Amino acid sequence: MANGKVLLVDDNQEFLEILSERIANKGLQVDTATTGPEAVKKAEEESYDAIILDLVMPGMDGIEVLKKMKADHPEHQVILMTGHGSVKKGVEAVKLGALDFLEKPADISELMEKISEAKAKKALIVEKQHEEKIRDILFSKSW
Amino acid sequence: MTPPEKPLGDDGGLQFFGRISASISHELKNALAVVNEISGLLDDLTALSVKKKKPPDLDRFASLSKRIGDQVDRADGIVKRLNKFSHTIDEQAKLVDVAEAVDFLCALCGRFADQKMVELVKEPPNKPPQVETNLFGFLLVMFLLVDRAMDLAGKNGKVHLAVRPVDGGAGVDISGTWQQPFDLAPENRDTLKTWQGRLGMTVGGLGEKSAVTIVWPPRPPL
Repeated sequence: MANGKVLLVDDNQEFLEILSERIANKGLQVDTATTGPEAVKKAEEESYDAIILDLVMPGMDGIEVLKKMKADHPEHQVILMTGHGSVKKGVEAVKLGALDFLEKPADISELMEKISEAKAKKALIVEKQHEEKIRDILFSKSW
Repeated sequence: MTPPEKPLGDDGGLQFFGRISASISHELKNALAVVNEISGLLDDLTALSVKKKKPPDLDRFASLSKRIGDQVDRADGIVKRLNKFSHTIDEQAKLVDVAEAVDFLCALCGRFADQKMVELVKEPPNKPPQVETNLFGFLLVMFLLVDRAMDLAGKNGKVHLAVRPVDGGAGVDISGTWQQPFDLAPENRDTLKTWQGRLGMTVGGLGEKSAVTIVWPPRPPL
């Protein structure tokens, strides 16, 4: 069984509720958000192994949320998910730093694989950030 | 059934058809995504009950099954809307109940309104006017103007659509919470001009901050 913490973002409440239960059944802790600003706030306050983000949402859409999250926290691992079968948007999302792009309805096994991938990638980035911090401290201190 | 005299692609018709079809397909995909997840959850719960050697929670199963039914009803409504929209190109001109046509337009615009976080408020007339017109062209013209009105109204804004009889024809007033002049992109101005010539309606209030009024004649020009 997997473990880790995931933020699931979608304006479709019913989809959000069912998918979060399915992911939780796989052993992951799931937080949810129904709007872009709520997602950005949660990602600011908590550390998530993966953020699964709907592309098309009212107000602040997935691309805007992705840009904001990556600008503030480049270590965030974002998987975009959408009902739009748009390769162009997917390429744009990946160029902006998304880990990957899944089309709805998504296969849960594929989604879980992407979450594992996100978790591993984030762990590497965080480890690297820690190493850099330690190096900075060592260089800045005289001892 | 008489096909339109001119190809749709030359006059903004194909673009309009594309936008509406794409929006409807997105709505359908959302319904299918929910059905997919509920069906997956039913599989997960079954596997879990086998693993734990416990009988499944039948009430939960019944509730999930009902939710699949609700989504099927939702998808059925969306497909019916798509079908009705597709058939608007069937006839060159027909008798159109303008209030009903505005209702249908609002249904087509619903997802756009949700995305733009704008509320569409219909103000139906006491006596619904009817005009003879091309229904596809009517919806195209109205969509062009309502879509722009929603952009101008902005997040949490309102767009009011009031239908009233005018000299044997019908008037539709589009008003809202915008503060700037009601402008249109050059390509949309061209589209509007083309359809104005074809359907004979007049559009007042463009370039002004007040309401835009579309007056539909009782029948299109010969």
